[in-house]
This record gives sequence, structure tokens and C-alpha cells, in this order.
Amino acid sequence: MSAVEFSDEDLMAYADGELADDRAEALDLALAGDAAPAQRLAQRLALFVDTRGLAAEALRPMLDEPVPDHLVQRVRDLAATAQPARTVVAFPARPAVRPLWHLPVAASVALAVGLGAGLMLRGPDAPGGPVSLAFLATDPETAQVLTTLASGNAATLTDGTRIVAVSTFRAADNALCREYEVTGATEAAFVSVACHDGQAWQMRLAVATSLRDDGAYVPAGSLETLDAYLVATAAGAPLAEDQEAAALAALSR
Amino acid sequence: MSDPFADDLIALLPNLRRFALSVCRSRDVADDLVQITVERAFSGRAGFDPATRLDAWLFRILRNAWIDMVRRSKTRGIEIDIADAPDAPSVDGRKTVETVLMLKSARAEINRLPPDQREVILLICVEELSYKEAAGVLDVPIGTVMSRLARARIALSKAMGINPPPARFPDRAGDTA
Repeated sequence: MSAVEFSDEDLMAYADGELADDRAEALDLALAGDAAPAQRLAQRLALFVDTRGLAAEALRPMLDEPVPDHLVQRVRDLAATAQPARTVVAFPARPAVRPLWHLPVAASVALAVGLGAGLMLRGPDAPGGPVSLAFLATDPETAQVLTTLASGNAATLTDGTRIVAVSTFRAADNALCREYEVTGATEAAFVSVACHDGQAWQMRLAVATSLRDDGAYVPAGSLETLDAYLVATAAGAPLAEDQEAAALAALSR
Repeated sequence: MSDPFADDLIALLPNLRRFALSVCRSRDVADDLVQITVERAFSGRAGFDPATRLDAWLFRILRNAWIDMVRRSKTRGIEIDIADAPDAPSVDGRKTVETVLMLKSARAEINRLPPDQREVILLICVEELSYKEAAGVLDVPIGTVMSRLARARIALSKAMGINPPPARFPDRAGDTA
């Protein structure tokens, strides 16, 4: 038996050039050592070297497939409409995040953003009047749903309002946030982001996605606005199911 | 007027499509994902740190867009077997038929891996990201990346019946594939 043991992950990291120098030197020695253990190590190492090369070769032809013209054109269009690049050197330690109000997409959508302020999800003339916002952040029933409903699932409140949990993520300030869709009893619908401030759920964004079929305004870019908001606020990636469950459970403690 | 960010992005479109396809396994959805990635890349370009790899940053955007898409639709896109998709026309004339067949079968085996293993193979073995960069794309610890990647490669080698004779080491070229 060799004195030093190497795991599959050691061998893989060696094959990928990621093994720490001292471990790599020890592995070099082991590979040069006793015939039988060295052979076993070498065989195992070859597995990782070979699979890397094999995967790269096997998927290389996919790069030769022609890219649809519309994708290339979209990049060019976006580049053409973008603000001219500035060459000012930024402070490197600070992540540069474009303020939300600079986003052209967000600006084009009416009734979009209400950061804690009183907000109208529908025009004042829309039939049925504005959707009540009370349940968004303060209603205990909604809060309970936000704290317990796993993403991808739906719940219906006692007043008929339906909530679909979309995802859970961390905001840049590390607050736990949930993206969810709300469909009111009057068919008004919006997608919203609420974050938990340690005490309660606070709504940070609501974007109307569709209104009644009797002709009220339907903004087309609502999900783009949401995307723009998530990018602009440096929202973290959606948590995996188990991470989400743990983070939500922590709120109830 | 040329915008280097746009030029770099266009150059990476084939890689983004390849990654998108491996993630969602549907050509139509893949192109939608690439388009969403492009849009988000422009609206969030101020958040890109030029000291890091643009492709890793884009892969992360793309993967998050896919997660959003899945959660919104609550369906797993239409799963097609992309191994059956037509090969790109450029086949290296020096390659033997056996090699072509083996690569085709390797592609099929990679597509058969669980999604979390497939994406680490893509990011590290194919796109040549470091473990750390891949961990950043996937938002998981490096240890998780390594254990998934090791499992994926062991599964792939078993499926392919790779049993390299020890004589191949220390000739580490390993590119007989």
C-alpha cells in the first residue's frame, strides 16, 4: 500500500490541472512508485484524462452548426441602441450595477415598479377599480403562503386570490426574496417580488402581466421588466429546492 | 461603430447554443434561451467584470434564465434526443468511421447523464472553465462541482466501456478519442 491515498477527485483534479501543487507532487511520486499501485493509479487517472478529451471531441461538432441569423442580428441591434461605452475606470471592488431607472425596458412598461410606495396595478379607470395591495405584503395569509409554498406550486387564498410561487433567491443585501404570480379574483394578474426583512414580507416589485379580457391594458414587456429588475438589483440565482426549503424553514424559527 | 462586447458575444453564440441545448434539450427552446441571455447580457453588462471570463458570466445568465423558464411553465421543455440530431457536415476526413461512431455514442451517453452531471461536463471538460468558474455559474460550492464531475466522468467511462491499458500512462496526451 502506498502511504498516501488519492481519491477519485484528486485524480480528476490532477487530470484537469487543478490539483494543489503539493498534492500533485505527491501523486507524481506515487505514479512513479511500486508497480502495482502505480498502475492502478495510472489507470484511474487515464479514465479522467480520457473522459475530458472524449467529451470535448464529442460535442465539438455542435459549434459548427450555423447560428440563426436573428440571434446575431439581435446582438447587433442591442449594441446599436446601447449607450456608448464609457472608458472611465471604475472602482474595482464595487460591483457596478446599472440603476433600475436607466433600463430602457423598464421605462417602457406602464404601471411597473412600486418600491414600497402606494402603487396602482391598474389604471384608475379600469373596471373593477385598482387591485387591493393590502394582501401583497401584510396580509398574514399571503405571508404564510410566501413562507411555506415551495416554488412551482400554487395556493388559493380564502378570497379566491391564487398565488403561484415562481422562485426564491437572495437579493444583493442578502434578504430572502420570492418571485410569485398573483391572480386576483377579478382576473387581474401580476408578477411580484417580495423580500423578507427579518420581520415580515415586503413587496419590492409588482408588474401587471394581464388584465381582464374586457379590454383593459395588457403590458407586453412585463416579464422583461422583471428580468431587468432582477439583473439591475444583482439578484442571486434561484435557490435549489432543498436550499429554498431550508431558507424558508429558517424564517419560521 | 464596433462594440467589442457585442463582437465577443457574437463569437460566443455557438457556445451559448451548445450549452443551452445541453441544458434544455430542445432546439427551439435553446434559441429562445440564447436570445434571453443576449438581452439580459446587454441590460446587465455594467455588472460584468472584465477581469473574469465573459463566457462563464453568460453561462450563468443562461442557466438562471432556464431555471426561471422551468419554474414559470412548470414543465420540463420537450425532451428530444439531441444525439439523433443531424451531424454537422464538417467531418474530419482523417477520422475513421469507428471514431465518428464512438463520438456519436459519447454524445448520446453525455445526453443521458442526469442534468446536474451533464452541465458540469459541459462547463469544465467542453468549455474548459475552471472548477471555481463552474461553481460560480452553478451557484454551488467547488466541492459539489468536483463530486458531480467525478461521478459524471465515471458514469461516462462505464457507459463507453473505456478501460485504458496502464501502458498509456505517462503518455498523458489521452487524445486518441
